[in-house]
This record gives sequence, structure tokens and C-alpha cells, in this order.
Amino acid sequence: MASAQKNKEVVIRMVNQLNGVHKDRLLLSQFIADESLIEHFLFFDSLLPANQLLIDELTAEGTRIVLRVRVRGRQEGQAESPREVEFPLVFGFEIEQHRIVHHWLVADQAKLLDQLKIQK
Amino acid sequence: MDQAKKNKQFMMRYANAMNNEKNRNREFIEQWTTDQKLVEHILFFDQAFPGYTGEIEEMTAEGNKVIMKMRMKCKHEGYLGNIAPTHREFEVSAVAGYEIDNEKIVRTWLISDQLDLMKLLGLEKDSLTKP
Repeated sequence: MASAQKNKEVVIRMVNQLNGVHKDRLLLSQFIADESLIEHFLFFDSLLPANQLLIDELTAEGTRIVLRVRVRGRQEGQAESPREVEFPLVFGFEIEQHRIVHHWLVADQAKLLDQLKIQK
Repeated sequence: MDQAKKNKQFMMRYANAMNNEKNRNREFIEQWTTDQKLVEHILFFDQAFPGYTGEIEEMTAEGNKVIMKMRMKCKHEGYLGNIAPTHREFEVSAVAGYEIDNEKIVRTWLISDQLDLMKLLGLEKDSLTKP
């Protein structure tokens, strides 16, 4: 199987494992060697605990993967009723030996903030 | 040459043409795309940020798809909706996905950080604090 296809499978496996569960460093480091990406996942999990990534598109070329998702989660703790939010995000991953070694991400933070504000 | 490589070359020609064209009108844009959403998007942003350019940072291609990560360089000289020109110059990251058929862009999506844009224009103080 070509490496691009194998790398797609790594990302799909990671998303399936992370969806709907609390993410900790141990779980994340099974798939990720890039410390700043681990920090991002931990940050988003603290904001939207056990959030889900809904895959809209996965594109692979060699060691690179671009993953377009909607992050769906519920902000708990500060509101009387939990707030459901969903916002778009794109990741770029570089994969070596079944782990993400480098990443970038672009998220529309305004959409996330709007949803949190609207539901206040 | 495989299709993904051809599409990458097409997208480089497209980006160069867009960046260098002084008069990005509908007729010019439609030489490259049949996606009216993309045409409207370029026209809308070109009146708010005349002559904005996109520097390609990364390109990933598979089959008929090309994803481009770009650094948009803009100067706010026209109305952005109801926001008056601030005359600020700034750069913002964007990622766009293109579907190409027969040397035309037929479908697109774009994600950029709108909060970052508002902050760069001095219009938004709230932000999420990322690690």
C-alpha cells in the first residue's frame, strides 16, 4: 500500500480513538510526536471536553496529510445549561513511522466565539 | 505526468495570474473557474483589500483536489461589509481546497481565522488564548 494511503489510515485511526473521550497526554502520544499539537488537543479538550472531530475531507500526498474537520463539543461548567458548538478547522500533518511529527492548523476562532457568545 | 501534478501546476499558474492581475474583474476570474462562489469571494475581498495577494506556503494534491495553505497580504482600503477602511496592512493565514476539472476550478472551500482578521484590523479585543 502506498505511504499516502497508509498515512490516511493512521489519521483515521487517531480520530476514531480520540472522538468522544477525554484526551490525555498518554493517549495522544500514541499518535503524536509533535508536542505543540498535543498541547492544542489538550487545550481544546479543556474548553470542549470529550469533543469530536467530524471528518469532512482528507487529502494525502507522500508524508503530508491535510485534514478538514468540524470540531463538535459542549462547553460545560460555566453555564446553567451546556453549550453545543461546532466550528471548522483544518490540520496539516507530516507523518513519519505512523506518528505525526509536525503540524499546522487554521481554525475559524470567530465562529467558535460567536457560538459561545450567542448562547450566553 | 500524473493528474495531481498537473493540477498543482495549474494552481501555480492560477495563483501567479491572480497575484499579478491589476484588474481582477468577473471576466478575468471566470477564465479560471466555473465556481460562482469563488468568483464572488474574490470580487468581495478585492473591493475591501484592493490588490491583495496570496503567497503559497504549502500545496497538497491528490486526484482532482489541491489544497493550498496561503499567507494573504492585504491592505484595508475599501468597505468590508459595513466596516469602513482602516488603511491597515496585515497578513493572515488561510487554507483553501480546490477541485479541478479540465483546467478549471469547479468547487472550492476556504477557512481563515476571522478573529485574527478582526484583531489585525483593530476591531476585536476578545480572543481565545491558545497554548
